[in-house]
Amino acid sequence: MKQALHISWIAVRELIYERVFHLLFSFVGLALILSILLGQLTYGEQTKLTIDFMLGSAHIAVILFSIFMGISLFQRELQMGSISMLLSKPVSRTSFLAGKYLGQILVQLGPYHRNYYSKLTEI
Amino acid sequence: MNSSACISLTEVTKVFKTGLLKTKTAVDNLNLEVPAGEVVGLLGPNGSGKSTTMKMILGFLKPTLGEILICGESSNNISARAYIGYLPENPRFQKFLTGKEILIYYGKLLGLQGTHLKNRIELLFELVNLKHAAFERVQGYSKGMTQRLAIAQSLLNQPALLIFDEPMSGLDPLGRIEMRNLISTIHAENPKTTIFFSSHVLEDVETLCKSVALLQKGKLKTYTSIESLISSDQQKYDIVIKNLSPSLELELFGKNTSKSVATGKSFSIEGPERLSLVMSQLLKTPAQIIGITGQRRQLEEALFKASEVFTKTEMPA
Repeated sequence: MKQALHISWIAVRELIYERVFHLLFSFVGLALILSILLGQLTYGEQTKLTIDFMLGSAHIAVILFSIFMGISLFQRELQMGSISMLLSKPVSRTSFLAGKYLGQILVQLGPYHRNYYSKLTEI
Repeated sequence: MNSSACISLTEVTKVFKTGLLKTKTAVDNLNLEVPAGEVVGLLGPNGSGKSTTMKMILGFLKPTLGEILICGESSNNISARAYIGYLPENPRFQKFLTGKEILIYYGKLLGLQGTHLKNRIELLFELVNLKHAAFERVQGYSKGMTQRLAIAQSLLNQPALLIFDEPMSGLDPLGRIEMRNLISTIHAENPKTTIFFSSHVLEDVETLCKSVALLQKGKLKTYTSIESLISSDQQKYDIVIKNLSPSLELELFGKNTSKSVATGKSFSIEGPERLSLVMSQLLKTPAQIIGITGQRRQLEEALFKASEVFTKTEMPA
């Protein structure tokens, strides 16, 4: 369990270092622009359309964001070959997977913490 | 099994499925026992089963048949990896971490902590000569520095078995010398540590290893000491002579066998007996012997010959 925690902490740092949040921020910007533009096409329902569009796209984006983030965590480790060094230590594959998964969850839950953005700038 | 063996492979076979009904035997009935404290080079052409053997020893792959024991423990058990230090070919680390953070990370995965881990890291940084770069991010490290850091991480738990996969690959000549010296130092400081070593550069294997295991088509062709492999071949010598009369040259070496060098004429002599004979003859004449050097038969040649001999004996009459 301890090993999984160590792995998760490195995964958190890796995801933040790789600037995965840039993707999220660009999505927010794009969705905002699109919703305003699409809102112009309706009469009287501009706010509703903006909210619906933003919620709908956020739903899809969160799923895609999780999938790609998860893939990149493993893919990078495999591509670099650092996985062989890690698994040559007495670390079970379950701990490795659990650690990576936990790291990803922590990063995704991160924005809900009130001090999160100040912490992010420190790294 | 011999109780002093560090690695023991008993009738190990690995078969891969390559299609619905097709299979490929990568390692075939391999028996190998490496005693503790030995430096062994694993050699063989591409596709001979070296990597598969190493992966099975490390527990990344399970043998289809047979058993692998690391210090008496099955390689399938995760706890057996506590005895192993592994240096992969072309190691790479998370580039956002510093050298020290990398060692702390791997140390914690090994269950080390507190002052013990701190002292160990300091000691290793000194050993691999990376103290100056301990707080630098790994992305700024050169190839040689990364390799040395990888060696440091493999030594964290003071392993009984060190597995080095092509440790010199991709290094410049200076880096290779540094790496060679480092491995020699590690062996000198930890004489009980077994070093299992795969390399394509036979010169490195010849310098560092005590014995070699030669694999061919998944089978162990020979496991012998380097000395016996080289000395079993006929030793050759180069002799440089000055003021040698043409008649004596013809008598001793025959026609057109000399090579002109800056200091005289150089001849090749085969075998110590022939050398003694030539020397005794030369000493009776005014010819001057400038120098004699032993032509150490290259391991490459010796291994090639060994593998050829084995293949020939295997062939049906």
